[in-house]
Amino acid sequence: MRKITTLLLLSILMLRFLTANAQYDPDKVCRIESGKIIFTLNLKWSDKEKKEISTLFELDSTLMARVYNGETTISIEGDIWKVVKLKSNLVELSKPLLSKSGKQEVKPDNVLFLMDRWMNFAGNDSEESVVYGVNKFEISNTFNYNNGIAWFYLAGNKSAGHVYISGSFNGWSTSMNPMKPVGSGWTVDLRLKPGKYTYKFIIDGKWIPDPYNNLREKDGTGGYNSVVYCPNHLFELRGSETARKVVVTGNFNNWVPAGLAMKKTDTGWNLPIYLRNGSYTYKFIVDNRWYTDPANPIERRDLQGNLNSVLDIGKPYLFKTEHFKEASNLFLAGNFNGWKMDELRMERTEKGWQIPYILPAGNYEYKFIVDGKWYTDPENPFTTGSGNTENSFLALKFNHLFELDNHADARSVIVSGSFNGWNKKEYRMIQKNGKWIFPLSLKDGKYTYKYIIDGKWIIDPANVLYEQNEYGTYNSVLWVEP
Amino acid sequence: MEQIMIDKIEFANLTYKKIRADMINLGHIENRKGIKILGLFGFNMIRDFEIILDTRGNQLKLYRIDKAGNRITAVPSGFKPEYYQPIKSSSNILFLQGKIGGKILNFCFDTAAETNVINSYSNKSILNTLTITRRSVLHGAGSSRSDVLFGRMNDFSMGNRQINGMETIVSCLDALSEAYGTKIDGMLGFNFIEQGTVCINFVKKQFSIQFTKGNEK
Repeated sequence: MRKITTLLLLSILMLRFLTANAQYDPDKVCRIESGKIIFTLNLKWSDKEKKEISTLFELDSTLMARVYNGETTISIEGDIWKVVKLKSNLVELSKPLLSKSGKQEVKPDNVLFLMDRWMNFAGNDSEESVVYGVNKFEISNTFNYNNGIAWFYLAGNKSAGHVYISGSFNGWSTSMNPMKPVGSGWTVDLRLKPGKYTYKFIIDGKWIPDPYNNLREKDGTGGYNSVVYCPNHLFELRGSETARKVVVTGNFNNWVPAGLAMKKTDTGWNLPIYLRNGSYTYKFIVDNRWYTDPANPIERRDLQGNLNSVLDIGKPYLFKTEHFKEASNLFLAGNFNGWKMDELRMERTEKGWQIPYILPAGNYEYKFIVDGKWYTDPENPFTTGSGNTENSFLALKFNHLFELDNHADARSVIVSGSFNGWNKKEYRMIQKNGKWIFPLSLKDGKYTYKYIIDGKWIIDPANVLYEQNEYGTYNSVLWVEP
Repeated sequence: MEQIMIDKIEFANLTYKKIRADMINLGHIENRKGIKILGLFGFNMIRDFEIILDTRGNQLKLYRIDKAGNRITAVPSGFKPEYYQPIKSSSNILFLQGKIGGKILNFCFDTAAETNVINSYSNKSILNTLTITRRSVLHGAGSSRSDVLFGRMNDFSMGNRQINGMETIVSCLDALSEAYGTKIDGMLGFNFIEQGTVCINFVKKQFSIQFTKGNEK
């Protein structure tokens, strides 16, 4: 009897699942007919489903709400929508397609911009934004990274005439790195820094992703690039030979309990990993039990009071101040730690206060919390924002210095551009030796920018590169090369 | 638009002298792609060659041809076309014919276009074959706006090859039709080119393709 009930329950669940699926299919929502755009909506959709549909088809949330309220004619932002009720909880929402009467053509560039957003072209995720990565090769001896040398191996293809490796490490050159034939395939040695790289092999002119590498990402033209990480750290746990499963988890992967699986070795378990410069906390999970790393003496208690192992990758930046000598407590907080005010305690030194903290190259905002009160760094002239939201600004390992000469008597100079969404207040330049300057740490690529001198926008007089913008004026152009 | 004369330009072992070019701002392409662009090659730079475009192999092959359009070299190209179509061209635009929903349509063929486009005012039997997956409203100058739709073509065929699932934009092409002085039902762009290896011979006015995707009907 019990079995029958379970079965019955199961089939009811299945039925529910199936019907729920049949009712919600974004592919069946929209159609075009006789110059009208028509959406078939289900009144029984969940809020999540409604939200997805309104995002996919840019249907205003007010419009959706009014449809679900039973209105039959809805006038919103110049459009008149008609709602017709169909059978079984379905309604049809329609309006004439725009653009017919005006004969105004859609600008191709705007359409292409949309395409980029929709199709999620590769290359959007810059290598520097990757926090961590582990390799996923099907066979372990097709890639090896040791002492800064990456060794790639492609099995087979013995009859090929020429084989090259091409990737983000050589600017996708088709000729720079030929592979050498060895007994059973082709190999190449490349000197690479730790990090993430994408690549393909070119076999007699044919591009293929690495057949034994299971890490791939879209190449933006319908195919895939292989992804490899050159590791800079080895997680290692000695012993626990009888354990069934050992994983490592930490703040780098948001403490996901599933963690990253470690591999069994002769002496225990290990996992080579690439970690971006930064301060990390982690733990091992051995058959579902959590442990700090027995080989690592540095541990730190988190806000919940749990003890975690600490791992620092890269050289730390020393935040310090010679002010606030009479204070009893100083903390550092910034956008790098989510502005947590009681996490990074500064230590007292002879001259004042300091804390070493590891951060990747980038632009940061921070403040000191002195006995509970927030202060900008008195020794750092660069700040952004104003009033309560004024923060100290740090361009760590900056690779570009904006410089403006000949405006010594200006009262305020701002640099604004594509790197900060053309914010008109954020990046205040400071005067140094008669010049206005502002440092920024920028990723590779193209940027457009302007200076705002006492409210007046000008292009950079010292930069010969500029281009026309959508307002019929000009923007300065900056290329940041790798 | 300013016209300039380029004294000499070299590419792929070819040297061009005294080339006339339009000088315009290409910053918008750089801004989208994040790569430096010096200029764009028009089709007329390679009109005198047989052009083979293999997007899978990331290759553009150019073969020298004689006045009759035949290749001068006897090097085999490995290209085995399975479908030919005469190219109709008017005012420097290439046209190809394809079939959707049983109807023959005039597509303008644009190798630089990233995606296909179907006219939103096409016949119902054509629009019915499309799956619309996204919509966006683009704001133009003043208060003008237009709906741009994005979807998949479920019933496109060329010759006896059925190609399903190509992505396409659905948009009004009236203005484009007017500009070219002929009715345009759609555009075939990169999504189409990557269905196989494409060959264009301007002298013979011939388009041919060796499909690598899609099914035979």
